Amino acid sequence: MIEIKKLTKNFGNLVAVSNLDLHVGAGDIFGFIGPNGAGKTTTMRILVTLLEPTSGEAFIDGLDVRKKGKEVRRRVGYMPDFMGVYDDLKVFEYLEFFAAAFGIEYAKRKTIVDGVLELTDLVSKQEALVDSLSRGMQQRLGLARVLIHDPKVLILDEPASGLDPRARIEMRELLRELKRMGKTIMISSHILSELEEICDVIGIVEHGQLVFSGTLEEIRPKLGIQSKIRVRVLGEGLRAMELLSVLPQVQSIEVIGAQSPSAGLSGEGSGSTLLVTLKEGQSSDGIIARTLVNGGVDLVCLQPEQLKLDDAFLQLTQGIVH
Amino acid sequence: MPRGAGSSADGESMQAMPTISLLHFGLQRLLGPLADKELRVASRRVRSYALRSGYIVLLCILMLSAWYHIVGVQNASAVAFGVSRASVVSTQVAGRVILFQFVAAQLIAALMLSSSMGEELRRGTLGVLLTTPITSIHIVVGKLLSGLLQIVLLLGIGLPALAVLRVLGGLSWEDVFAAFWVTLAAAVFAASLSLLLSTYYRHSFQAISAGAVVYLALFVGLPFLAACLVAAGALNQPVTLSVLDLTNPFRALYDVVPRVGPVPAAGAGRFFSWPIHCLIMAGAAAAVSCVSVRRIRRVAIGRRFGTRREPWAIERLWGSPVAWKEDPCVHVLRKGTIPIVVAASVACVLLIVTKVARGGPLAIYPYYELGGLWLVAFLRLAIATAGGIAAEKESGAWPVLLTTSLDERQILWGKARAALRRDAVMLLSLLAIEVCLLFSQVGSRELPGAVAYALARLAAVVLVLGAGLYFGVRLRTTTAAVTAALVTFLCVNYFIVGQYSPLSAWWLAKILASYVNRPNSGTTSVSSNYLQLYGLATMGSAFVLDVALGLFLWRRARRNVRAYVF
Repeated sequence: MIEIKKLTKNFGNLVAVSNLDLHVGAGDIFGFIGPNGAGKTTTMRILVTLLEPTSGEAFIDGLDVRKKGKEVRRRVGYMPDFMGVYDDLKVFEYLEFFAAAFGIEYAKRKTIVDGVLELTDLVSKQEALVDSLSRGMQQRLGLARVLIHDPKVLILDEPASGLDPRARIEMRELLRELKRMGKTIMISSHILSELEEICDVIGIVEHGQLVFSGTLEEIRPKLGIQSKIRVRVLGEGLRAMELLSVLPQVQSIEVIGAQSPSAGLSGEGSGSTLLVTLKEGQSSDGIIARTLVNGGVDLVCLQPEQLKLDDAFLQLTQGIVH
Repeated sequence: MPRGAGSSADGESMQAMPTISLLHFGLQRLLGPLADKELRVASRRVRSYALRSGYIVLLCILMLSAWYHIVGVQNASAVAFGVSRASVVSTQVAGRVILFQFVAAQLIAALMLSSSMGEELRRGTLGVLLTTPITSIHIVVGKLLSGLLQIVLLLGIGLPALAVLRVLGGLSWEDVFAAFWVTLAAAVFAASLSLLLSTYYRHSFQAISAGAVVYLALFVGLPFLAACLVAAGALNQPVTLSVLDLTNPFRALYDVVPRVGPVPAAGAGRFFSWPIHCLIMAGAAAAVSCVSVRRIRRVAIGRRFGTRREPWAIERLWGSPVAWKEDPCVHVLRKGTIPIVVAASVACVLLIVTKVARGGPLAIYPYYELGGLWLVAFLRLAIATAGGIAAEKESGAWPVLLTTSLDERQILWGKARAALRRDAVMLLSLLAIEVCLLFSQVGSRELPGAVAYALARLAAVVLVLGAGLYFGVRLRTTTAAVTAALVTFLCVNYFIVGQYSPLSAWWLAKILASYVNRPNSGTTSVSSNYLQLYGLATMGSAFVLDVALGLFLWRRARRNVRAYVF
């Protein structure tokens, strides 16, 4: 649905985006991550025809953003990082204005605006002045505006910034609902834990270049990160260590929780917690559980360690701002 | 260095230091850190330098064109003739320079201060400022002084030119000195009024528009009313004229430098003193600033919480969305414009009836009053057009509008339509009054002239719309865009072409003189149809240039809509 090929954008001597290649499939939620000044917003602005690329190509739904600007705008809903609002317009009037701007007929406008207000839970605010809304409500209104012409692609630049936890959860739910409706969503955010929960694919960009694109699971081999399994057993962990250390899949074992709860690093009841690191490319395949149970160890819990997006982000980027 | 001498010098500097420190401390207390910040920022802004450069260029064009107009067309080759008329010419050029500085200083002061509070409110910095020990007085004084410093610099730029003209004779130092202070006093008043209005209106174009109306009421409406009352015998003429001269900066300038405009009617017992006039204007500016000081805190709180607007029912959108957003009112004739229509209709009927009843031409022609009203109408048009786009950029809504499926033509045409609809009543009323005035002067035999006049005004509208759209698209702030559009209009119609342009007077006179007066006619007097031809050529050239430039700028605006988004 979104295709970027060798995209470059220079502002004078500053290279904001450099030879960027990207692909987002239809119906995906694509998380666009990168440090400040990495080129995320510039890329998004090019996609929504607000900026001309210096070189390279970008396509939305097969349409070249350079040559088919008007058609592209019909297919895209863009929510900028700073959403300017019009003074002296009410919520309903604001949405109707954009409905008219997208060429929706007068007869259909009210129904569409009502529908969007309902979807974004803004019905009670339709008579409120746009600039009197709270930040969270304005973001929600921004999303309502983006949906007014039923675009195939949503490009959302930091939609959750400045929102309180409840508003963030609501925004997340709304995005999931939109995914169910079949929208392709490209979203940038600094709140990585949120992207982790809703994105199918992520792209990490730095210095205007894509350093990674794929699912979170695909990052692990890219980073050379080995699988780790957290094992919790009753009693001392020595017997468990003896049993596991002879397994060919295991590279190392680390005790991260002691027997005594008072001294326990795990801090959960009496028992020990071990962190088992598997050799690169190896998976446990249930052998750890079987070995421990057969060896007479009281196994309480066995949990693979998840790779956090924060960790991946930190490892893949250097945090150098242009 | 001898020890004693050094000690003595140190001792002197030690004695001088407390005085300087006290003065510095006192000034700092009065001005506050805001003035300091404004002055620092002003020196970093490109627009400050652009303003000064533009001012110098305009001043040079004005002086050169005025010089050539007066000297060149008569007999440029005769050196003796030129020298003999040096003092006369320098007096006339100086008059134009002084008038230019006087008008420009007030316009620039009003434009610079019109967005001062609105900008702070929009950025949310006014509330932050008020949580610091900075007082409202510091805010007002800081804003005013930083703006006025720019004006003083501009006036200073013009002083060497006046000094050169002074050397040529015909102009006294007192003239230069008095004109400088009268101009500065008028600029101080304009700035303080603009600052006050910026606490009432969130957009600079609204503040400028309101300021123009207040100016017209104070300095055109009141004198006109006073003149009527004097004519009716209700007021004493010398006393009224004295009061008007002392309180009206335009009349004061004419009194100080009579060659810049019509000499006010002399009357026995009439009193005028420019220092007293300056003090009165400064006092008025101080009073206006006091009101600004009182309003600032209230405005910051009231606007931040959005408590000032009256509720209204949802209005459904019709027609062009861009035009609707700019001006949701369907009708051209609306509540606010009805008084204008009524006043214009009464004036037109009176003019026609008087002409028919008298049979001859009317003795009066409110040249300056109508000129002022036309300027206000064009200012409103420039504000509505350029401000309509630049205000969206300032609020961050412009990129959002550009991501809709509206194309460039629809956006620009919507803005232009809304601007025209807002200003249509004033423009048409003024045109009707002027046509009726023309009829009252010369009768129906000048119908082609009236048509030509209407076409010239229409061309000016095209130019203002084109310039407004172009600079709105090209520049980032409303004030800059409106100023650029207005300056373009004024430059074209008052410098390059038009009835009052010295440059066009020069080149048109040259062309027409060679065409109308045959070389072997042996006379220097103009032929009978010269003036008629001159008038038509002036209007024709203005029409062609206005329309051509207006359409060119419109086209450029359309091309650049997506080029200067951020």
